[in-house]
Amino acid sequence: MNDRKLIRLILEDPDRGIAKAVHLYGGITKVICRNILRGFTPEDVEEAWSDSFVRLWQRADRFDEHRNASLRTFICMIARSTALDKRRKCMRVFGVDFPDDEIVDVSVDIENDFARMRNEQILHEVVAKMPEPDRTIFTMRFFYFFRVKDIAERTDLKPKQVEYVLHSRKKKLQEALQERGITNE
Amino acid sequence: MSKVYELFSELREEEMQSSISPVASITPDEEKKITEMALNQIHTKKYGSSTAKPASVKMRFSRRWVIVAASLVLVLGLGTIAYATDLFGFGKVQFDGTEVETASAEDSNQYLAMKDYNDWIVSLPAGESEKLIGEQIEHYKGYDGTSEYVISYRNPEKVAELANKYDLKVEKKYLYTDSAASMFSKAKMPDFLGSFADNIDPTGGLSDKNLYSYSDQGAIRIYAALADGSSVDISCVPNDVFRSFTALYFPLNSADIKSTDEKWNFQTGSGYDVRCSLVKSVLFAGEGEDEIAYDRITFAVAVGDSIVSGEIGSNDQKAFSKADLEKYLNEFDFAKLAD
Repeated sequence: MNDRKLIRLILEDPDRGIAKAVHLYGGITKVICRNILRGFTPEDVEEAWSDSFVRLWQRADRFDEHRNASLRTFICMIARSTALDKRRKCMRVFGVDFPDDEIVDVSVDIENDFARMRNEQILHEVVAKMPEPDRTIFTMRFFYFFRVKDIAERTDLKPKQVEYVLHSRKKKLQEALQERGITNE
Repeated sequence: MSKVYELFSELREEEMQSSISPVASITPDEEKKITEMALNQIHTKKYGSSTAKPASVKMRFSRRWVIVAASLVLVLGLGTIAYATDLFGFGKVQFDGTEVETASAEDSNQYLAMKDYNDWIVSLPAGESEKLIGEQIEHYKGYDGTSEYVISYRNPEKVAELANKYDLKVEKKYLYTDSAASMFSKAKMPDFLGSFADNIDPTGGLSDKNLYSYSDQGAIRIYAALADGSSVDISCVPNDVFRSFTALYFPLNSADIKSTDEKWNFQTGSGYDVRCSLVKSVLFAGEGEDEIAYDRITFAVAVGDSIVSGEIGSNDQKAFSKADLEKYLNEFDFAKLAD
């Protein structure tokens, strides 16, 4: 079943469409929710995981806005934002955040829509120029939220080597944002 | 301050394709449960009640999921490799112009197979190696790093051929277990950690619950944090197990990193000769830039029918010295492996 057919099925017959979507993309969305909600209860993960498919149903008619992306990518982005929302909600209660290693040391303006788009564009330009396996490592860490240890295992690198790559690439991103991004300075 | 993950809110298609798809297996029960949870909400939003349309909730599972709970170690293309040997007894390779010592005995079939395998990879026509990596990544399905991970090679057929030629076993996977005692027991290997085990911090930041793992061919691996915040990665692999490429010393040379290294041979108090290296690296060194120092110490020792190798990486605050490694090495009870 191609992407467009599945979207149509979700819109016309959510019961069958969502069941099919879970069947096809349950694995990847599980990983994303589990990574982002590491340390939270299995129930929290399940809730975000199933909420991702509810949002897919709610947003299925917007899939055309993402013409250049596959349904798989579209679903991944939905699962990621759903899990992050869940995490933020819990943060307000428990006051925990991601570790500092995800911080870029530059004060960019992410509240302003134009600034956010510009800075995101710069990030994607920087990612596009990364050689492999750096791009994979960077994406696994900052989009999929894999642990350094897991990335090391999957790329046959030492954890310290993965850390080197992440440090180096964050530095490049920081430089690009300072040079061309919209910052709060 | 901003966070990378906040900027990385959208995934471009080319980034999806280039990344290793993190696919996890799900069980039929999980599939059913998540579908039901989602549909209950959808029915509530659509019909005002989660049970408004129960008859239409048809779980159509046309086929059973094949559960492949696994991850794999990708053997990525890592440059041009040539070979030499060392008087100390570990085979060497040339890695992108840098001589690298492997943690494999030069007179072992393990090293000879490693050499043949890498010779074969280097001899591949332009683009063929990258194609194999692509196939390997594509083959990478069913990842679930919670209980085990699968070892994958760029060309399993070639590995099987060499393993047969040199009479070696091929590891398929590593399984996590909850204690050092369990790991050694399942691998049927004597516990050689000695008092070094006391340094391991089971609640350390680098570690989750998967500190200890063992392979289906009797190797073990420990990846954990030490009490001082350092990280440790120790393996013990029998000589009759195929290894594609293992580096005792692996400097990272790039514009962003400056490394200095020192190598030496150390004899433990109980008489075991250990090959050691200390690599001190500075990241982002340059005028007006912050410097981040990383020290890594690596070692390898041939004991009995196995090679014990490891790496200890410093935390940001701790600098390592030769004496630090030698102190740790004296804590191991290598004699257990020689029995």
